[in-house]
Amino acid sequence: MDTLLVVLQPAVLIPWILAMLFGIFAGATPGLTATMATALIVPISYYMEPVAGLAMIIGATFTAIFAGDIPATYLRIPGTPASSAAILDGFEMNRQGKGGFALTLDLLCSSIGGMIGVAVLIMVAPLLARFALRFSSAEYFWLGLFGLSMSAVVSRGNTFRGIVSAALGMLISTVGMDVTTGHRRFTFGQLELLDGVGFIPAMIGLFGLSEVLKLASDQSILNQPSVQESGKISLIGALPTIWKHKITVLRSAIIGTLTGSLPGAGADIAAWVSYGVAKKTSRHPERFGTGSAEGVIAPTSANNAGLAGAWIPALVFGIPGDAVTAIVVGAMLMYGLRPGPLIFEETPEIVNGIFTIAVITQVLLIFAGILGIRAFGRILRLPRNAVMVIVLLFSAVGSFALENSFFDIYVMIAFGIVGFYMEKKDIPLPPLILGLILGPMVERNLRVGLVRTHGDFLPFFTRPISAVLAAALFVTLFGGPIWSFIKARLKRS
Amino acid sequence: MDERKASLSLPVILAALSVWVLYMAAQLPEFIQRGQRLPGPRYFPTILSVFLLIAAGVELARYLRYRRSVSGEYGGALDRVRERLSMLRSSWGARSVGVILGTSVALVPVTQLIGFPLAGTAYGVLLMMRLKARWYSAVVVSVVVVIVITVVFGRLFRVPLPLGVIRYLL
Repeated sequence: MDTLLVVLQPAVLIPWILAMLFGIFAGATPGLTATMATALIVPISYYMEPVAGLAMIIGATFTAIFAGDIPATYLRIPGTPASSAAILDGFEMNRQGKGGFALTLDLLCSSIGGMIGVAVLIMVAPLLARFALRFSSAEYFWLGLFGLSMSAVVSRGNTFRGIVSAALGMLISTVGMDVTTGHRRFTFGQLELLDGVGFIPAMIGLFGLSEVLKLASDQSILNQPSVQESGKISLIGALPTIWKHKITVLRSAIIGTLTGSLPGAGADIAAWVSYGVAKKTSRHPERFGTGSAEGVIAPTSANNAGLAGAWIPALVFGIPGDAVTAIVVGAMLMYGLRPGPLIFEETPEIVNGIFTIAVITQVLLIFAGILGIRAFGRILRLPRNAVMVIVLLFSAVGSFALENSFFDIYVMIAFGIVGFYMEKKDIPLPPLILGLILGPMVERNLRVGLVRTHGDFLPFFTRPISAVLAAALFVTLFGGPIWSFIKARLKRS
Repeated sequence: MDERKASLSLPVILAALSVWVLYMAAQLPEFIQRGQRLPGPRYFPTILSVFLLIAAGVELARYLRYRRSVSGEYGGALDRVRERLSMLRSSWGARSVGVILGTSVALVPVTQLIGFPLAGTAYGVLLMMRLKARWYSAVVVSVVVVIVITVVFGRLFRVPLPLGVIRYLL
């Protein structure tokens, strides 16, 4: 009760709500990520009480992850990396005039998923964090490949081309300084490429510019509004659909929390894995990618849960689960707190405050989310040619903003052309972007693992968790064809 | 089979990219520790290029199979390339794509020269007019968006957008 009174006092509540509104804006603006929103809030929160600062950070990050789904649904531009999986069915639903319904489902599932994630964080945090700590290079290598295989399998169309797309993404991720030896690879003397190809400009180009290029080819639609009829936003109307898919919500939230709790995995992989599992276990997998409600529910229940999961190792062991919690750990140190096992004994009021804030944020998210959907929906009633120019200008400035680099605008344009070509050739885009994110993790762990074993591959298969992950990868890639083959043989016999 | 799924350009691009990466990777140093050769900087790109080379082969086979299934429906490959090129030249959409890409590339040096507010406004007006908007709505939308971006990114987030000549007016 004392904690509740502390977090509800105006000095905490007002900055918390303002930060949530900022989170909606940052998440829904392509080029501004949840990480960037957190990074921008930390210096402001320095002058506040730790609880108020943490409330701002928690509020902004959870709302930013949801808000990333708004442009993903309306424009097919993920506001944050965690929203890339939400594009698949959300955007299709929007095309069918059900964008408002898709976002209502999304909002409620984000809130429910986040709530489940926070519940897991409160209950089993120490246990899960200990499990994640048992991961070595071999497990991380398989986990990275598993995430990539999921994105390839779940992408609509050709799985083989999905894998090619993921391989291309990983190949692009090798540009820059080599992680182990520090040698420059494929940089051609460009200093801007030393840190690799910028992920944000690449994402904006692939999903934003390529979509504008595609739309620009058709002059008949240019003066029409971007969102013709997005449908009503009715929370009550969305509840029966969520109830119908309650198992998907629960399963995705749990998968999201578990994935998020693995350091380096994060909300983006959580969303992809959940989408893949939902498709594999659905009675109607053929509907995925065509505007299926289940395809919206699974990734959106998982991404906010993934964020809650990322807090587990950050809080219990001081090991950040993703980029956002890496900043959070830094911010906690700045407030004079020491994230780790001792924080539960030394400052229990802070831990309880974090838990309480995280729970209330999931409720406040619904109100902030509705506001965000309405505001963004209004902007999109403009004619398509106006929206296209707005997207182009925001894409250019968004690409520039992260590193203050004009070079990143060229990167965005290059990826726009690549995305345009890939779409023309029916090659899925999401695996490429995931390959770009996970490439360094896969490469580093493969090479470090091989250096440790003196070039021996066997430990990659003999360690128990590693073997399970390798088997999961095999089942993901080949399970479908093998099962179809067995079924055909059984039918024939 | 869908023509989109069977294209000659895809295996050609994949093969060219793989061969080029294999060549470039071969120039990278080996990683030898205590006399033992271990996976170095060339290791991962080489594995990926070999995979992409195999993928190029699969795509080529797919294309050849498609060609065989539609043989007789079309003329020679050269005729089809000519036909595509003439379509591209005459297509309004293809020219719009070219204008968007060209102006986007030009936006960077022009911004560095005259600042974002002016360059961004000119870029917006030019593109909107190309995309069939009326001149006054093109001007209004572009000016409003550029002001919003300059205030939000420049003032709120302290992103150092070049203001150019506008700086003296402010």
